Amino acid sequence: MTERIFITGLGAVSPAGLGVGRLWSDLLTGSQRFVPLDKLYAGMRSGTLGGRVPSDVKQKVLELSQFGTGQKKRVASAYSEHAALEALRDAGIAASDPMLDDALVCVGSSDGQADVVERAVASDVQANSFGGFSSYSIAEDVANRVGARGLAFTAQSTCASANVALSSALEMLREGVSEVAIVGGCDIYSEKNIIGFSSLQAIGTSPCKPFSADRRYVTPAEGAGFLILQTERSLRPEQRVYAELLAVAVSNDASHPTAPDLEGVASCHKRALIEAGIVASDVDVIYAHGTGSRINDAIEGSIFVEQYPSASVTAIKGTIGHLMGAAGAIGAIAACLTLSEGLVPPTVIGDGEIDPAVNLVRGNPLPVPHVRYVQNNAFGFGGNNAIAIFGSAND
Amino acid sequence: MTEGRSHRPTTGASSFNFGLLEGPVDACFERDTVVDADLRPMPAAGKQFRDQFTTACLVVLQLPLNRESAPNDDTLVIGTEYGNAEAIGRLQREAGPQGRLLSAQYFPHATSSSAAAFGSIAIGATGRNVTINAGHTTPVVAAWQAMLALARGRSSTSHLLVGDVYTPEAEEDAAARSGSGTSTSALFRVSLRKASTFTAHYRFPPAVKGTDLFGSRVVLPDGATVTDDSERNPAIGARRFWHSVANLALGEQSEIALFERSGRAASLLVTRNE
Repeated sequence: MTERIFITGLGAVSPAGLGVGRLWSDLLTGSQRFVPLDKLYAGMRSGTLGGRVPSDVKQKVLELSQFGTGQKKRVASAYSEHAALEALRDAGIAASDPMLDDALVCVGSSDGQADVVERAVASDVQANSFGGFSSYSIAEDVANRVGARGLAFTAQSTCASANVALSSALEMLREGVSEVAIVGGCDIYSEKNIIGFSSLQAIGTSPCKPFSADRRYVTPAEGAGFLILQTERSLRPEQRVYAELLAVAVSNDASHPTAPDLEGVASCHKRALIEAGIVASDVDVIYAHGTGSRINDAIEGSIFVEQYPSASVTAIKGTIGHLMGAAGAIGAIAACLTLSEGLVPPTVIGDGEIDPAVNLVRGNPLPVPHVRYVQNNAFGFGGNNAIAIFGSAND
Repeated sequence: MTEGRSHRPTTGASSFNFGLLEGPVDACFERDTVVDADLRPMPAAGKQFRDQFTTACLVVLQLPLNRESAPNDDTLVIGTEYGNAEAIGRLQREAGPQGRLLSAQYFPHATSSSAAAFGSIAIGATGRNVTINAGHTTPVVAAWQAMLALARGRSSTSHLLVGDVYTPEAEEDAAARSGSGTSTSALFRVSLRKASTFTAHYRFPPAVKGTDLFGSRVVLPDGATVTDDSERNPAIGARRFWHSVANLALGEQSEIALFERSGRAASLLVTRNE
């Protein structure tokens, strides 16, 4: 029989501020905090919007981190450490807990230690003057900070990274590599990324409007989200269980370097359902990838319309922005909260036309008191697809 | 023995059965530049934006496999510490001088998993696509991921690519993390299939602080042990290991153990069953 895996702790650093509470509050109230980004090169449009971790919050996180200042400054490590520590506290696991003796740390990140790379490239100074830029150092820094002695690694699959990390951790727990996993996603503000999206004319001066007929741009954002995964046998009676992680399907379109492929994305949906042991009509709520780009939302939405007509769909990037490799982690946290709180946050796009005509949650949060299954989509450049399905902890 | 099926041993360990379809296939380097002159024509589209790491991955994927790119369910796992760092740095450097003329083609080649994306496109692999960085233990962790896809029945073939091409920044970073030694650009592929020809036993013991162990240890079938505590690219030891696996006789074993300065370690013991 397959080992059951549960989520017992959540942590986040995001444009909403410090902590899961602020994130959830912003999602439920649809509070956007987008700001104009600095113009990085001549080809970038002035007033391009992004979601930044507020400067006072960033400063606080950096002050609390051993990687927050001087030559060892690594912002991705600082955000990840903070979110991981919050998740562990939430799970009731203390720093010296024996549970951490074999705990696995797995971090999904698209751009890794982006600030270190940028400083090294920009100033033409040796990278080690700024602290390491290997993406592995994020996982290692988190493991060292929280006292996890098990395996540590980083998974990189563009904007599907965090869901790929969830998949890797799920499988390792099921195979007996560990009993506890500290899993998350982190991507910080990356100049390289902003330049890249700008060169594709994918970001701009109006905010992300997922599934809106007049959608145009992705709104890039930054932050970290972490979850504590545990095997059923490692659960303690006093622990709160948010949800069960049933499956995470990972696939590739093998089609185009940037554009998603309908067949590939649809195939990943099928795999996720098969691996979770459910059918599409069982899915109550879908956290869409919903970037607000024309092609992503058209492809994803057409699958929802055809295969999941009864599921309530929400796209939280309209509120919080696109956290790149961490997007799947933020979606996973929200999915767990939907299962535990019985609420679905709205998609912030106003009252205009929806395209495609998905069953989109708008306006007020949608109560879902009897919710059983929540799906969380994350896709990325390079044809990367990763879909997680969570089940109610009460089943 | 059940094909590709794993069992649940004690915590920190894991086992899979597998077969070796092809490899190891090595990329040839002259200094830090991959040599592809004798290989079939590389995809021309975007060639000027492709970095040495992606080129090396495409070289080892396309030959001698020489397969058509019809869609298949293959999994592609790339284990690398620095991956596409060259293209990522180049995009940032080019944005200033090129300004409004900056080509949109830089970006797809300049993500941390660009090599995996173009690799999957090149061979039509629609299965799992994962780029893994576990520091010096990367080759063992990546192999685990590749074998998992077979064990779960998600793919009939898993391609495992391991290695690095060192930019000056990557070399400095590796030196800072790992101490004195050499950083040799190297990358290889092994393609695994679902079978019970071999059994792989993985061990991921809890980290031990203060050991200061670093590098690789390969135990060959004749009992000879090759240790290397100066090479920063773990693909060098891993390549030696996979060459020995490819030549195992019935009942023979080969093992690789990899050590991070942080005290983390990972090992893989392969036994030939058939």
